[in-house]
Amino acid sequence: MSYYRYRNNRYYRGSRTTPTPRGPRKLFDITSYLKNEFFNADDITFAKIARLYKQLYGYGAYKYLLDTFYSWKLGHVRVSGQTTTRILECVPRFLTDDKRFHILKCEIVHFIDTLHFKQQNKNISLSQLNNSFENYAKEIDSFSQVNLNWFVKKGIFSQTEIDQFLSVCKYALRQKLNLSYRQVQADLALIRTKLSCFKPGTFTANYQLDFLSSKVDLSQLNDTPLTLIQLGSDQIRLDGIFKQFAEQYILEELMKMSFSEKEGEVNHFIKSNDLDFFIGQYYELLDKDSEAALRSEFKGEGGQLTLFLDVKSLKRIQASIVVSSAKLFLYTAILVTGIILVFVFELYKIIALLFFGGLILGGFLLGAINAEFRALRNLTLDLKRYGN
Amino acid sequence: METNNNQLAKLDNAKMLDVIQKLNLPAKEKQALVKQLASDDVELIKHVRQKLADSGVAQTDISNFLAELAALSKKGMYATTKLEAKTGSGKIEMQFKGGDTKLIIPVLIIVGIVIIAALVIVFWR
Repeated sequence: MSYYRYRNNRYYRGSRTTPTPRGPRKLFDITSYLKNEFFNADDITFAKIARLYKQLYGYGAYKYLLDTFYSWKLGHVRVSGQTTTRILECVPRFLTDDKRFHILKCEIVHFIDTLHFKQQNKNISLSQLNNSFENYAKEIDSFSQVNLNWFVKKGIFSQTEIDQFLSVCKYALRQKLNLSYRQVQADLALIRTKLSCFKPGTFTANYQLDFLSSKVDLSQLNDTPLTLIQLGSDQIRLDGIFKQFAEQYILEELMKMSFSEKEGEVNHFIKSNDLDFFIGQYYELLDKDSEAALRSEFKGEGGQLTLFLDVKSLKRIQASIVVSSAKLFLYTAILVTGIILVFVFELYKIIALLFFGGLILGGFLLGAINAEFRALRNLTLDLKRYGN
Repeated sequence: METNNNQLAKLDNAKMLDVIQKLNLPAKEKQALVKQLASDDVELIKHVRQKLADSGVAQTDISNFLAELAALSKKGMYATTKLEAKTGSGKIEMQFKGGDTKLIIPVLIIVGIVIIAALVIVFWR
């Protein structure tokens, strides 16, 4: 099977009738990469590639390659699909180890990105948060859906090389998951401490996890126990030709994670200060009997908190209850008066007036009474929530 | 809250440097990694300063704004207004609801009295 067909079938095998699955966009284009290597190869490497090309495709193809090489390189002649396939078959065998590793890394990282993508963009309940992390860890452990058969068949990589680098990528992903879990837990503990003074129902909060791009509702944070779990961590043993490159890759990943952890600690500190200030302002407004809706977004270690607080003055709630009760009384009185007037003046004999009057005025009054009932119910609820 | 899951936390700069030196890499690449590590630290310091400055500015802005609003309130003026401030870790939005409920109550009472009077007149006959 040619690389073109391999690429087309790799992700969408057996899915002609099903919609194309969504997934991360592949940034690495191996065709362009190999073509670039071919056109910029040094003389010795080019001679080796050309020799293999002659062996595989005959003298005619070889001569055409030599005659057209510069026209292809300068873009005067387009490289046909067949020639591209042939180049793709020959070039990888003469690449240096670091370039072969680069291809392997890009290919495997794409599969890892696909695995990660499947775990993202979910709505997670607070009680299920640990399960989500545990399930993801299990998914990483059992992940083996790396289809690089084309590379193995063509002798570009051995299965051992693929398996070994896959284990390196899985290790890095596990470390990222562990880091995210620790950061999220630290954030939740901080948020809980800061929001412990609020009664349930007086705030709305949600938390967007950076690593999982998923949302957690924190409205029940004070009532849900936060338990820490061990996600575990495997050790990897590096071996083979790619050992040096794999070590460098893992070190770079660890450096990124270390930076992210330090940055998270900074965010934690800043967020804690900002939250203190925000809550302080809330209480200050409350003391002043102001009415306000406060909204905030704070970036923490492992995600972003969105917090909504309503400042409601007790005096105003009480005043609103009086107003609503008065309105309710007023609408009821108008309705009762209207009904009495209909009977006193025998307006029911005028069917059209009764019909339209009853429909419009009665409908309006009943609607208003209903709205006031609801307002009163909410106000009494607010009185319970915000009252001491 | 403590966790035992802190393998990464143990990888401080000194250990990172040690690992880089032990790696079988060309000197140029080792140097690049060490440089990256140092530049990360500088980046972090810049990051902290910027965030602290942002938070400071936001806190001053909000405090001043609330003081002005309180002054207006004392004069008996009620304003519906919105404030948005960028803090070090995100942003704060405050939306104030204006309006004086004191005015509504007498109006409602007067309307109620008028209706009750109308009812009394109707039934008086």
